[in-house]
Amino acid sequence: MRRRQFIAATGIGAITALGGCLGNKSPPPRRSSVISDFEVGNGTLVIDFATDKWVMSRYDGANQSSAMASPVGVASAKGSSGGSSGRGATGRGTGGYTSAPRTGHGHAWYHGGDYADDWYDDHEDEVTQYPVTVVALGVAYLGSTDQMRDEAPDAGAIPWDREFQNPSKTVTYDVADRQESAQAGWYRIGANIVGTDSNHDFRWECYDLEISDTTTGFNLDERWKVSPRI
Amino acid sequence: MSKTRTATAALLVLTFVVSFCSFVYEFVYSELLTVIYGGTVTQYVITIGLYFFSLGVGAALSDDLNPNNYGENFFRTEVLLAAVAPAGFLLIIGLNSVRIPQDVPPAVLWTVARLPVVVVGFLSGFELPLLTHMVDNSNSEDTATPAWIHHLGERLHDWTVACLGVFWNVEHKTGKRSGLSVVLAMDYVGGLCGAVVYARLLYPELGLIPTIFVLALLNAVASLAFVAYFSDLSLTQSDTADRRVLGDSTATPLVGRVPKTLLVVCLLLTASYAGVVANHDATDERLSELYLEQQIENEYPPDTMNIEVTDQETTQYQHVIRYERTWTGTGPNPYFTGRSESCLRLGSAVQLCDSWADSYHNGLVDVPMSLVDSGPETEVLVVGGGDWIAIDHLREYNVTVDQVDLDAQFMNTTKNDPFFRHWHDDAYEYDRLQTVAADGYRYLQQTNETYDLVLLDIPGATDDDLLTLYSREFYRSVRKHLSDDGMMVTWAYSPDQYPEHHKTFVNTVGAAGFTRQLPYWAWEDVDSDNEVERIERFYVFAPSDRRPLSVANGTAYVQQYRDRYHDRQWQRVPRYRGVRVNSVFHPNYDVLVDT
Repeated sequence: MRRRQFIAATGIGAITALGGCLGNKSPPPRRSSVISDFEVGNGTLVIDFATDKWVMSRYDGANQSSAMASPVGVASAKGSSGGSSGRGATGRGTGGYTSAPRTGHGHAWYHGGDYADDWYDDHEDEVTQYPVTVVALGVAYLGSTDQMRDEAPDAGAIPWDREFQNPSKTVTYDVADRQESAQAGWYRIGANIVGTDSNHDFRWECYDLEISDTTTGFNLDERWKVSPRI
Repeated sequence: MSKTRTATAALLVLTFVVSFCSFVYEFVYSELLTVIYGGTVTQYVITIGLYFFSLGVGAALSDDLNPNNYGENFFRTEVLLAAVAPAGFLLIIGLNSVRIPQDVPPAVLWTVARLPVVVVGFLSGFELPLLTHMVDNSNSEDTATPAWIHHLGERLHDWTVACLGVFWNVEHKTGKRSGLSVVLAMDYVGGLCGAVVYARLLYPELGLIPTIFVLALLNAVASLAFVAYFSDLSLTQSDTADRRVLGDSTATPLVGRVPKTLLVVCLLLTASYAGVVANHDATDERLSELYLEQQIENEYPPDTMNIEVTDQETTQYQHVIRYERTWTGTGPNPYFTGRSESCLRLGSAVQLCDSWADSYHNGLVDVPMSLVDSGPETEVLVVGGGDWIAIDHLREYNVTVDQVDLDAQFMNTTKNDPFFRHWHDDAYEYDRLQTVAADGYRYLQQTNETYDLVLLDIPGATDDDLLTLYSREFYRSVRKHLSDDGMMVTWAYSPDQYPEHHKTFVNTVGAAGFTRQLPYWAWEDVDSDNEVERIERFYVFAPSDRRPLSVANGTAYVQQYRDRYHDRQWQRVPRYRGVRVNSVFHPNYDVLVDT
């Protein structure tokens, strides 16, 4: 074999092999329909829930008894407005700031990309769509755009500025009532969802919104859905 | 001894040395990547794979090197290796010490961190072909070894060829061997010696940082020796001809022209590395402190925490790091009360900080103690917990405790260390305590005891060495040693932050026969802002129904945080489809975090 052919062949082989290391084999963020729309008008953030709320999960509810089950995360999320990221102050189980999942791990666009489609196609028999109920909704100010760029929190609940228990179809939150320096910027909206039939706690579906303050009032500029991996 | 005989022998000695260095460089990189990223098998396998691939590329391209300058190119290769290998080591450390913007894809970091492996492999790929050519050109017909060794070698060779002849068609060869065969043989011997010396001497005695500089020094000295021996820069004039002659019919120096700049660089590198090796203790301590401090600071938002390592110790099983963390942010400190506090890490995993040492153990001990009776008849097993703090909490309930921890050295250190004594209050003297220094998995396989409570106070699943303690077999052993009402308690990672670990962990525990779980948090106001914060997440697991957590009959801690515990209920252990359990003989590496 000529040397160049040899090097080309081994190069292709190596790249293929390394592709296995570099490729993302983690499951994609789970799909769900919990909140249908956000609007900002007259300084108020309006959050509309979806009519049919559901989440896709690998949770195997077939043999799970609902009699003894109860939501886990609801009570533990209450009133945790300290600075410990709402996830434990020790750092043992969280890994700290730099190891927090970033866009590639816990965050996702609404759709999740082609790899998400492929994953769901390949794991069709492992995933079930569960109807869910929202038992709590939390709203928290994350900070300015610059702060968000540096310190985007990972998926899941954070210390909420305000929490609504058993919310109805629509929830409103007054952005204009906040301190002026902490009105524009990023917000996290989190919905704690529990299986309607299974009563299994599916923890939190979150949305990060960027709200800007313009001469004509508040605008909703960006919206990200932040789901844990399925 | 003929002129070319010694030249051949010198080239074979060089082959041994450069092969030794090349192999050990890769061992050092593998271990460094394991220390930083976790996953021993993953890091070693990928490093070895990349190394051999790069060796192949280098060897293939070596044909393009000028055949009239093999010696000079070999010298260039060795100087480059001596410079690049430690630089690559520092690059990997630097990558994990500086803040990388979030926009940088993880794949880029992954690739850059493996570049040193590839570069060293590529350069090492030049070595064997160059040495082979040089040995072939030496035209030595004689042996450079003493007669008795030569005779012994011949006998061994005869015997080996006779064995080969049982299966292969052989032709006994006498006289000069091909350059490739002797160079390859010496290369493998160098590799073996490198592996043994690294495993038995360099790594355990010096550590990773001094080792890389020892190797680079060896590489640089080999380069200088090569030049001194085979070029016009010979030390004495009398035997110049011997040193530079290639063959009987030629008198061309092996290294025709030594680039002066490169020679100066090589001398400077040699001097620098010699200085570093002479002061390896100080270098090791300072470099590792810098790395650790930066790495820990990076766990917090930028410019908010200053870390100062105050003490380091390496036991047979773990690296123990003590440090002070000081809040330097602009607002109130959300992590702990005051500005500074002491913390402890085992490896990269945080184990203890002043602000939550007590509340963590409240969660580990005082919450589950609300589910069992107090008194000597209650048998408790603590797996891990070498800091004795869990024992101190258990002592309050007068229960009988067995403790098994692998690291006796660490346990002895913590007995009298003021930092730990403050928290464990000499709990190792508890008269109902029996401590065994052993592996928890092995202990459970051998003991006949049964326990009402098994507390897992073990490190996080960050390393392959810990796969066993997160396996179905281990959890099954725990279950088999539970009394009729027994339970297992462990801290746990965040399901949102480590979803794959969490699902694997839960399925593994379920597969071991645990069907009921009671999740809860430990709580405390760690930063004195009048808000109670979550400290750590825990699970109680049981193989069947257990009595509910009663706040009214609970321990003082549970009653103090009654609003956090009044609605805690037992649930079924969930199961997730498509998630394989972690088994000793069929590990699921998803259970490891940060790999």
